Amino acid sequence: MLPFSYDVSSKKLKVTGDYADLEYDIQQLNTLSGEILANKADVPSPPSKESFDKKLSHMAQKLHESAVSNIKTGKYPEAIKLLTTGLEMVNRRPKYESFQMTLSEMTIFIVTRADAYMMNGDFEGAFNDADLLVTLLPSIPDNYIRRGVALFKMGRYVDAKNNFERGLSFDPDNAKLKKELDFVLKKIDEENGEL
Amino acid sequence: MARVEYDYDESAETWPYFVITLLAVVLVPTTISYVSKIWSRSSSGRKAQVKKYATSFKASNHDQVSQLTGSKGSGNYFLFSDKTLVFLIVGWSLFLYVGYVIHTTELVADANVFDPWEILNIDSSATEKQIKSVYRKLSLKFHPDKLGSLSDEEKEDVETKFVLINKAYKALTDEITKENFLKYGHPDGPQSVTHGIALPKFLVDGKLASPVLVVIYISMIAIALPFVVAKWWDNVRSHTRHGLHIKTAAAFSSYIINNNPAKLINTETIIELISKAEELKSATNLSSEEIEELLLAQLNRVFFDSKKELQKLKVVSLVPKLINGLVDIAATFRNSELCVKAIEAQRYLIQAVNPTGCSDIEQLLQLPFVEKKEQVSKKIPVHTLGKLTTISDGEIADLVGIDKKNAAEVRSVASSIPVIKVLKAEFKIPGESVVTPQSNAHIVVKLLIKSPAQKGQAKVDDEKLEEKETFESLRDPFSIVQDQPVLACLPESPYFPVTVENSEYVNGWAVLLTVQRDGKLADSVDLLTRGSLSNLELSQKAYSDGEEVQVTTYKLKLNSPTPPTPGDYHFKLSFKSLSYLGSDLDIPLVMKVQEPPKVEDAGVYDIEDPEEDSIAGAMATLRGEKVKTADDDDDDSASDEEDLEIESDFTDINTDTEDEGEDK
Amino acid sequence: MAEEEPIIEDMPLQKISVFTPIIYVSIVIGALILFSIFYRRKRIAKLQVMKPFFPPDLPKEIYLQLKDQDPKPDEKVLKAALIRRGAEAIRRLLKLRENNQYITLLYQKGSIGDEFFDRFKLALKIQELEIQELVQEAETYKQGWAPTFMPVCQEVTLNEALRRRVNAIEDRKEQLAKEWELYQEIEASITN
Repeated sequence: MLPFSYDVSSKKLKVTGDYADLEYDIQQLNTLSGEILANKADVPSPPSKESFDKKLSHMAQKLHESAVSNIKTGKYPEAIKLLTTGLEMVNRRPKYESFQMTLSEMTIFIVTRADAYMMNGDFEGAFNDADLLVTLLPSIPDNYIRRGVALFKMGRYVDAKNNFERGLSFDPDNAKLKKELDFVLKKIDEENGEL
Repeated sequence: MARVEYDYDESAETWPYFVITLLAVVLVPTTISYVSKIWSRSSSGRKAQVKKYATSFKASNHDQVSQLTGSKGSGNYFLFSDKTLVFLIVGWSLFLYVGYVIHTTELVADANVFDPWEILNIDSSATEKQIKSVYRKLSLKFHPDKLGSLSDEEKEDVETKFVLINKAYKALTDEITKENFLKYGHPDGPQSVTHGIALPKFLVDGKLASPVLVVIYISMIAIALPFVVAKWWDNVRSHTRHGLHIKTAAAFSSYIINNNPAKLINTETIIELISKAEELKSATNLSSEEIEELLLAQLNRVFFDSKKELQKLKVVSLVPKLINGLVDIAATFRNSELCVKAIEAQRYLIQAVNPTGCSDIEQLLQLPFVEKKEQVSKKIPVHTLGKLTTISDGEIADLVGIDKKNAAEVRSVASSIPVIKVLKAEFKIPGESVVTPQSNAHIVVKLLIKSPAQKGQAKVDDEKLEEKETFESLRDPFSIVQDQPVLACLPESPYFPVTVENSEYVNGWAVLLTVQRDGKLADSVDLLTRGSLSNLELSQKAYSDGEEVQVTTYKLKLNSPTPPTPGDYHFKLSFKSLSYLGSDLDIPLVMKVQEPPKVEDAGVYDIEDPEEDSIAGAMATLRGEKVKTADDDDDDSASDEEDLEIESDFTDINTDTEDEGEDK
Repeated sequence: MAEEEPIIEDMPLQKISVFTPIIYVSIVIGALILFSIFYRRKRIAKLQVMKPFFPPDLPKEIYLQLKDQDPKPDEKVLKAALIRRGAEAIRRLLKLRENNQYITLLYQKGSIGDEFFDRFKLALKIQELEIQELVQEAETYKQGWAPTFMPVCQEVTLNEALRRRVNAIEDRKEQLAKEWELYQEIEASITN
C-alpha cells in the first residue's frame, strides 16, 4: 500500500508522509485530474489544433508583445518578469494538449527571455535559456550564437568557440557566427599568450 | 571369469601423468598470457621514456604517493612482487620434477608384462629357426631334470623360468597361444583386469595410508577440481571484456538509461557513480559512501593520517580503469556528454583539483607549489599554461603566490606539459581521392605535440604532411601510426600514484568524434597514445624554423561506413588529455561525401541518427497523427525559422523526452 | 616374482534381460527430466529475484490502489490515473526501444554481463504486456476509447518531460553559477 489518501470533496490525492518520489507522481496526477475534471468531455480528446486552447494562446501573445516593447525601451528586468510569467502560463497548459504546439509557444518566450537576460547582463540566465533552446531545437544556428555569446561573456572561450563552430555546421555562411568565431579565436590566442 | 583387481598405482605410473596434464593445463595459458603481457609492456617502452619533471616539490602525501607509485613498477622489486611469476616458477619446477619422475619410472619395466622375445633373449625380428635354436639351448639349461644340487628356492626359480621359456616359445610358434598372446597380451589368455586409480604410492603405503586419505584424495579430484574450474569460469563471467565487474557495468548502464537529462552532470556526479563500483568495494572493504568521501577528499586535497591516506590513494589509483570502462559504455550509448565529463573527472582526481568556484584558474592548480587556490592572485589575468610561460619569474611568483626561487621550476613544469597543435585533418579512404558514399573512411590527423611555451606557427614542410600511397600503406594504412613510439605522457601529478595497472589509462589523449547535428558520438572513443614528444625539447627558434619538428600522425578508424548520399557532414574531433588540465583541443571537421564516377548506393548510414527510424516509427504508430505547428507567432527574432524547423526537430525533443529519467 | 595363475577358462556370455535397456533408457530420460525440471525451477526463481530494470512503477501502483479504494474515487480521477499509468508505460517502452540497439551492442561486445541483458529483455517483455493491458483497461471505461487513449498518453509523456526540463531551469542556473564562478575578478574586456 502506498501512503496516500483520497479526498472525496476536493477529488485530490494527498501523500501521507515524506516521500519525494511519490510526492512528484501524486502532484502530477492531481494536476492532470484537475485538467480532465475541468474539461467537459468524458475522456480527453486526442491532441489536435482544434482542441488547443486558443484563449490561452491569445493571452500569451499579449504578454509577449508587452515584453518585447519593454525590451525596446531598455526595461529588461520588467521584460524578464513578463516573459517568465508567460512561460509559466504556457507551462500550465493541460498535459493532454498538443505537445508540439505547446513547445512552439514556449520557445517563443524562452528565445526572447534569453535575449533579455543577455541584454540585462545576466549571462547565466541567458546561457540556461539558450541551453534549453539548443536541446529543444538543435538545428537553429541562432541558438548557438546565444549560447556561445553567453559562454564567452562568462570567460569560457573554448566552450564558446565550440558553439560557434557547431552553429556554422548548420549554416556555414552565417556572417554573425563567423564574426563571433573570429573574435573568440583571437581571444583564445590572447589567453594562451600566443605571439 | 577374470579376476578384478584395484590397483593403487603402486609403482607410481598413472598419477604423474595425471598431475603433469593438470599442470600443463594451468601453466601453458598462464605463461602465454604472462609473456605476452611482459612483451607488450616492454615494447611500449614505458620504462625508458617517462618524462620526469625537474621538480623538488613534495605534496603533503608524498610518502604515501611514492609508496604506491610504480608498485610492481620497476627493477627487482617487480620480479619478486609478481605473484603470477612466483606461481609460474613453482608450477614449472613441479612440472619438471614430475616429468623427471615419469622419465625414471618408465625405465622400470613391469615384470608382469609378458614379453616372449625378452624371455628368450632374442631380437623381435628373429626368424622361426633362430627362435627354435635359442629355445633348445635355454630349455636344456633350465630343464627341471637338471636341478639336482640346487636348494628349494633355486629350484623354484628355475622351474618358473622353464615354464616361462616354454610359454614364450609357444607364443611365438604355436597358433593358439600366439592368438591368445596377440589378443590379450598374454599366452594364457585374458589376465586379471586392472582398474588403475591414480593414487600416489604414499597414500596407500607408509604411515599416511588410510582410507580417509584415499577418500580425501578422491574428493579432491571429483569435487575440488571441478569446483576450482567452475570458480575460474565464474570469474570470467563476472568480468566484462574490458575487465569491469559485471555489477559495475550494470550499474553504469543503468545510470545512463535512467539518468534524468534535466540534471547537470559534473565531477561530483561521476564520483558518486564510480563509488558504486564493485572493484572499489572489494579492494577496500568500504561502503560506497565511504569511498565517495575518500574521492571527494582527493578532489579537495584533504589529507588524512598515513593509513587512511594510503587507502584513499589506493582507491584513487583504481579510478582510471573504471573511468575507462564507463567511457566505453557511455560511448556505446553515443552519450558524448557523459564521456567528456567522465574524462574530466579523471583529470580532476589525478591532479586533485576541484574546479568549482575557480574554473578560470584550474590549469594553474595542477602546477607544483600551488597547493591552495587561495594562493593565486585575483588580479593578474593569467589563466593558462601558455600565458604563464610568457611572464617573468617574478610575475609567476606573484601570480601563484610562491617563493620566487621556485618560479623557474613552476615554469619548467608548465612548459613540459604536452599540448596538441593540429596541422592537418581530413577524412580519407585508402586509394581514393575523394570520400565516396558507403565506404570505409578513416580520419588522418597530422599534429604536433609541443610545449605550451612554444608559440606561433612552426614552418613544417608540406612533405611531412603528405603520405605517399604505396602498396604497403594501402594494405595497412595504420602501420604509419603503429610505427611511432608510444607516448609517455604519464601524469607526474604530485597527488596521484601511477601504477602498472593504471598507467595505460592515464597516458595520452582520448579522441572523441561527435556529430554536430545531434551532438552525439559518431564512434567509440579512441586513444592517441603514439607519437613524438621530442618537440617539447625544442627552443622557440628551432620550433618556429620547423626543421627539427617531428610531426605525429594519428588515424581514427570509423566503424560505420560513410553516408549513402553526397553532401557535407559536420563533425567535431576532440582530443581530451587523460591526465592534464589545459591540454585539450577541439577541431571542427567536415566530411565532404562525393559521388565517384560510377556508384550505386544502398543501405543505411548510421552515423547520423540510427535510432531515428525505430523511434519515429514507434512514435508514428503510437501517436496516430502529426500536428502542424502554430501559425500565429509574433516573435522578434528567430520564430520563422523555428516554425520551419519544428517538424524536423520533432524527433530530437522525443529523444530528449526518452532520456528523461525518474525524478529523484 | 609370482607365477601368473593360468586362467584360460572361457568367459561365458551373460544373459541380458530385455528390461536392462529399458531400465537404462528410463534412468537416462528420468535424469534428464529431473534436470530440466530443476533447471527451469532455478531459472524461474532467478527471474523472480532479478533486480527490476526500472524503479517501481508508481503511476501504475497509484492507479491500482485508487481503483480498489472504497469509496470509489471520481471516474475522471481514475481516468487521469490511468492516463498517467499509460504515459509512464510509453515512456518506459520508448526508452527501452531507443536503448535496445545500444544494449545489444554492449552485450555483443562483452561490455555487460548476461544478467543485465536478461533484465533488459525481461523489462521489454513486461512493458509490451503492460501496453496491451492498458488498452483493455481503457475500454472498460468507455467503449472505443482505446484508439485515442494511446495518443493522449503519449502527449502526456512528452508534455511532462518538457515540463520537467523547463522546471529545472532555475536549479540548473544556480548549480552552474556555483560551478562556473570565476576565481579572478572579471576583467573589463569580458564585460565590454
